[in-house]
Amino acid sequence: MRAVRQLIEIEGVSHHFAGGDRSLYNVSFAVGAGQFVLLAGANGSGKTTLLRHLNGLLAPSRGAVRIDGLSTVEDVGGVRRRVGLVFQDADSQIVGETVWEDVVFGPENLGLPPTEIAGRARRALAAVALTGFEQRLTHQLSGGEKRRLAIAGALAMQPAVVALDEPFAGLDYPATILLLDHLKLLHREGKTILVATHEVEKVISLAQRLLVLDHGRLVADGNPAEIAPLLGRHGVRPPCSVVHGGTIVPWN
Amino acid sequence: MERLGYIPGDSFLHRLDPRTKLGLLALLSVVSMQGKFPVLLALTALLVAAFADMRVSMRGVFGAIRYFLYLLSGIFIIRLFGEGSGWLPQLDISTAAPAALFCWRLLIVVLGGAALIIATSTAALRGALVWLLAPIPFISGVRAAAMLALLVRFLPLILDEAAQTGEALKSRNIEQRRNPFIRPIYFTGVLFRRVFARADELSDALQSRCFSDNRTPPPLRFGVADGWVLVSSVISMVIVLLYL
Repeated sequence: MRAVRQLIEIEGVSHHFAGGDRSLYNVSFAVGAGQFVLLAGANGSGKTTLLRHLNGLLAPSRGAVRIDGLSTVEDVGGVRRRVGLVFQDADSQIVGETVWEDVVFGPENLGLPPTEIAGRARRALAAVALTGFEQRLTHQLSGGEKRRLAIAGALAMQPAVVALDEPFAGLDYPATILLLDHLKLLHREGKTILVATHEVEKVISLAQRLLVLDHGRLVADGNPAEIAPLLGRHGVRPPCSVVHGGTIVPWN
Repeated sequence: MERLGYIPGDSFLHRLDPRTKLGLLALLSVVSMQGKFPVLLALTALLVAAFADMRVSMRGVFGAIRYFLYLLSGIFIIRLFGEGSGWLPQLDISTAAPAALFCWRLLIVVLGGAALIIATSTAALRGALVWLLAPIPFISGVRAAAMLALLVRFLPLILDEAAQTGEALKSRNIEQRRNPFIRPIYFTGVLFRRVFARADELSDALQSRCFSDNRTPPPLRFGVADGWVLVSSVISMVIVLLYL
């Protein structure tokens, strides 16, 4: 059997914020290339802090984070090329005045030639069904469109890992369905997907693995079907079907 | 139009290179300051035509620059008063025509700036700024251009934050407080906290997308139309300055 390449390696990571608050306690896990991982936890459980470690925005107080073998402390530039982080608040992430300006922002930072930048931007917009929106002003987009643009901005960097922080926050039903379809597609294309959310019901059917954070500790890691009934203990609502004794069903 | 900002389009002005547009604005400023009534009339007609071509109503433009218009009205009124014999200034109606002419000149420059903003994306302006600042030592054109782009992007968000903060305070009856300082204290405190939080998030967003000084600048295209427009504008300026 061929061994799966470990794309994300987190070893004994603890994080202390200034002032002494601890957000993560000795968290360890590894994610293989191409996996779809759901990171569940209640508010304040440390999900966002953990995602920021993946992108090198935070450095661990103890332990180590490696992406594709690169340390987030020693090669932060290389790490950021490999991890596309989609923030919870899309408005904070969108830096372009128009959709096109925002999508080309990342590739421009990599110093790529203009033709390569244009090609990447077109492909990224097509991947989230925003083709034709190029000249639209970003502040006039709907919440769902902004979220998709934030994903396109990350995809244009051609990352191996796409990490999304509470991607369903503020999205209505059609926008959520569209986003789920895009996540499915990205996973099928071979991207490693990491979704951090407390709304597990929407995305759990896509996940191959479920990690649960509770007060900064990794308390469960494994098959979503086995762990889902235990979510309630950690402040996360289990999927409705599971609450009623059934199995995990797609959310739509 | 609530605020001045880029409006995507395909007008003649939209198609020009941003460097040409900056050059035109500089020429417009010189000519409007020197030109007399017929020249100002011609410039105004040109600007009205440019806005029509961009499908932007003059009413919308005046709405967006309303605060400048208030300032202009103040300037007009101040210039109506001459020095009196005593310490009080005296109303002098004979200065009305030159005061109006002066305000008209300023208005033309501001309308030119508005046309430039409406017809030029921030990315294009950024490219032009990088190009213009490149020969100047010790100034990072890339950094200055990035600051401009971020300002343009985040100014509307800050104004939205201010509006939301104002409404939140009103919804909790801040207007019932008699102390006139309470409202500004709460308003600025909350607004500053929110703006700084957003600035932190922006900093993270820039880092996560590998922001660097060695960015690829946006492509600039100086076409035949740009050449014709610039040459004819310079000739027109020379004619105006020498003969009109």
